[in-house]
Amino acid sequence: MATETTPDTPKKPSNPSSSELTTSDKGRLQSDRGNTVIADSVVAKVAGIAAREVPGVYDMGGAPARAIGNVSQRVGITDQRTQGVSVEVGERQAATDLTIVVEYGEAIPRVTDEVRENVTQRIEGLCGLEVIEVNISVTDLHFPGDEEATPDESRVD
Amino acid sequence: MIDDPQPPAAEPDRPRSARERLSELAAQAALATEGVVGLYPSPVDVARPGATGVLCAERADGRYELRVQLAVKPVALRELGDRVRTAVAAAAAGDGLGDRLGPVDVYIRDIVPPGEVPA
Repeated sequence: MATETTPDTPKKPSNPSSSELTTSDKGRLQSDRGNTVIADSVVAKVAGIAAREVPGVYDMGGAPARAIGNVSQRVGITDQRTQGVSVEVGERQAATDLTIVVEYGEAIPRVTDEVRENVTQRIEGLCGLEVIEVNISVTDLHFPGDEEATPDESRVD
Repeated sequence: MIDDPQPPAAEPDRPRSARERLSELAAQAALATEGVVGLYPSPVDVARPGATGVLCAERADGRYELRVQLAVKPVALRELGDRVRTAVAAAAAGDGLGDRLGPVDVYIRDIVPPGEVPA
């Protein structure tokens, strides 16, 4: 089950020079004193944390990614916070693709709207990058009790 | 007869190069900057003994180019990069190495949310 929500470009000032001006005033990535380089994994982590902050988001990543992620996180190979997050980062802009699992009963459009808004705010606020796309795939629903382990009961006395 | 073992001769104090001093100053200045959690050597760097997350290389003009790799708190990262650069420049100037300092590149390699233990 996968629901692709329509990519929604956050509203930007109509004059592109104004956003560039604001960005450069805040702290340029390149200057004659040196460059500031933000690793893609940092942008992905910011996006992952921001998405998980939204009520209604149960988990991130598709079923295989979550299964593999559970193992790889235990041995410290991967970071759970970047699971289900893919980013493309340019010099001034970023685009993100998110895969999320939503709690059953939550309105998916509301959840995805809030995820998009929060991810945009966090990346722009922390990384100073203009977010041009937040594409969200809802790949599963989580039902209460799904995570509870099946009791290992014998069927016979 | 057993030779009386001599204690190893202490390494004579050799003058530290500008590169070494700048590396150390940059590390100290970066760590003292608000928002910085720690230095973060890249996977390639950690293979080098003594790697700290600061790389310093002399340029053709005689100045030193620095790369400071950091794990940081969730703060505005561009401004943080500027603050680190300013702190490094001030530290170098205070040690008489201001004219040897070239560009300082700040690499944000990890972000550490509250409650998370840095890697």
